[in-house]
Amino acid sequence: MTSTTTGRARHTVAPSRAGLRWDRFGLPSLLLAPLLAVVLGVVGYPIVRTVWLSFHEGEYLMTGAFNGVDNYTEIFGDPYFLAALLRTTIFAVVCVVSTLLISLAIALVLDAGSWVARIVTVVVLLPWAMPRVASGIIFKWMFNDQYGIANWLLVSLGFEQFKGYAWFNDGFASLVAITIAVVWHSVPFIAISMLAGLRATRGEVLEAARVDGAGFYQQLLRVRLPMMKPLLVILGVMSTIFAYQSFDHFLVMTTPPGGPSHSTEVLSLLTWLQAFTVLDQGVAAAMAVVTFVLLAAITAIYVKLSKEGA
Amino acid sequence: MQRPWNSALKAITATSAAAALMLASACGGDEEAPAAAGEVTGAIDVWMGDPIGAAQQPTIVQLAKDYETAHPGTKVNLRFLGADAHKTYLTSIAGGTVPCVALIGNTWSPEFAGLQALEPIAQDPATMKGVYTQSMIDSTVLDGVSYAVPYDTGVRALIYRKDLFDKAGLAAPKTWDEVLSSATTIQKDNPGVNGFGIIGGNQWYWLPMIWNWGGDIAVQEGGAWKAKVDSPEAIAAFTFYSDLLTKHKLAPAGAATWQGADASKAFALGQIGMMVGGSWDLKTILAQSPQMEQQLATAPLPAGPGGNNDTFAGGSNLAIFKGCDNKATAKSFVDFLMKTENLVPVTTKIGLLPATVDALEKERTSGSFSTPLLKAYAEQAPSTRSIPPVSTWGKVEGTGAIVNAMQAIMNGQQTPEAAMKELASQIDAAIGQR
Repeated sequence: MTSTTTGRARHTVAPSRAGLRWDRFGLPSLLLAPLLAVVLGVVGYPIVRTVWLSFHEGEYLMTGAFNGVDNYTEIFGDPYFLAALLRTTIFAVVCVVSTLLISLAIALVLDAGSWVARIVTVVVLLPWAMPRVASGIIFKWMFNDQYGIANWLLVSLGFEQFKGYAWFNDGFASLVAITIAVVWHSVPFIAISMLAGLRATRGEVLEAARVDGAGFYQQLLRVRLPMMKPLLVILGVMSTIFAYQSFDHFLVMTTPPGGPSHSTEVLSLLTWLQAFTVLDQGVAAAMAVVTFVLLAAITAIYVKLSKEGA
Repeated sequence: MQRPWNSALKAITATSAAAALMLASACGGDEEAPAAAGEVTGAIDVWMGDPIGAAQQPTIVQLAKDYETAHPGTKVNLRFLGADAHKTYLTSIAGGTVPCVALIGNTWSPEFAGLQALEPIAQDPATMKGVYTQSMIDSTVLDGVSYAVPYDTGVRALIYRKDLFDKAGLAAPKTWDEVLSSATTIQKDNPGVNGFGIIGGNQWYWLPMIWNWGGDIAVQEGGAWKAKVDSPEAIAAFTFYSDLLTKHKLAPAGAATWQGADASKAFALGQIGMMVGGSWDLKTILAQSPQMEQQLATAPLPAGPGGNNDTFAGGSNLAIFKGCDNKATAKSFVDFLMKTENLVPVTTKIGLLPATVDALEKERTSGSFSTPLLKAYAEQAPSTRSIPPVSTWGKVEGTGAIVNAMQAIMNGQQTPEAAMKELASQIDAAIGQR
């Protein structure tokens, strides 16, 4: 602290070259240093460590010898991993598209804004506050073949074939149930963020569009959504990461996790199984690195898309 | 002004030092100096996970107090781990912070021994013969050395609706063929009742059928383990179980993913005529519907074409960790816990059988397992086997490979032959290499 004040004092008296450099780089670096250290420690180190582990043997969570790309050859030679890679990607696309569309619809309703909407806003946030494991268990009950409300509802609506229908006997049906649960859980946050974005687009531009005779859809598609583009990109990235991260629902809702017979295995679940039941941290780290690279690439594409339009 | 950088550097060095330390201790777990022989004094850490839950903890706490009173100068530090015990033990082994004494699942014993984490109990397991249930002794052995003391054991038996069986003039089935015929009759006679409680999501309810059909899960050939689940016997056993669901429709379709609790619930609701279930399942059923006590009965498991009705011996073992620095006290505490008068109150509270032959006999003839409903479990206890005692068995169990194979057969995704062949290669990959 003492040196800071002397530095500043020197600056006001006679701006020497050294003093200028200190102000430009020295002081900012000094002030950023603690934060950088924390970031390096909690973000940088684990990433570097994971990459490093992925090139080593890691049975029983003990780091063994360097084994080159063996872990990567192993996972890319495993048909179940490749299937999970594809499945996770399709699942993520479905999740992101439906999450964004449903969130936008909810945000528009809330934005239409009477006092009722303001109360509803709070209610809409509630699913977000729920622990994912708890919502997973509840959705599993809702889709129970014997006592579940989903089958009851479908049968009441006249779909007799859903009487005693076992959702979790089949990979596709399980994924439908899990997607509904995951989307239900991720919509609130995205919807509230979109509401904030929509609120910010109110004002002169929208007013001008209205005066020019733009209808609701024209206002939305030509004015409001383009204005929200930076936000939409961030929300897109976030919900993509959220979808790739989905783990709790898969773990809780399927028996065995990823079953029946491998049909709901996703990247996060396989990584977890490798790390904590097969106890092979090398292979698990390789899977984590693949997911990381994939997500980084997707994020880069999002960012590029947002820049192109601007 | 260099201070923040210094602290950052320090933080980084500290992190890597901690990591290095963890690695060092992980690799160096077996280099612990042997405890000074002798005196029973000082403190020991004792960890217990499931099945020691909230209901059993007071009994254990009391036993620890009794021990401290009987051995002045000792202190037993208890820690209860609950259901997540397996991971807690593994991280503690990797981190080098193990307890002295631990109650571990019997299938984990070879695994932890393989990690060089456990202190040998008997160099020759034959010396334990006759003292403990044989299958439980088998579960403690790795490479001819026993690494744990069998503590409690849980077996499954047949739970059935005696009222419905009596009405149809049927007796408890003695073979799996009789299971099929009587389940079909019960289901036909009683609308709304499913003949047999399939539990597709949990391998322990049907994996032993491979033994009943005369097959094996894996055998040791020239020092290495070789999976035998693709043998005709094993394929026939899995096909038989799958057919109960898919061909004979003796359970709801969703039973392909049922766990024990799902079948128990359905049984308690009166929707199941018969199921394979442990004494804990029986407890669940009676807790959910106490009036059913008059309607149900238990019997030893049915035999298969192989001529036996062997089932899996579940349970827990007491182990002493190599990293313990007070092994004398640890050993004396284990001996204390294994005394029949200290063992039986705990196993009774859990609802499982004690794993010593003496205590088991006492429980069967005059103890809590002498009642008509529980007797079948005590009778089943000698007809048990253990899973292949290989340190890497956890890989087979953890990935759900066995359940996936059964479900692939049930869903028709794979032919039984293909599913079992794939399972055999998965088991070989997990336990084959040494």
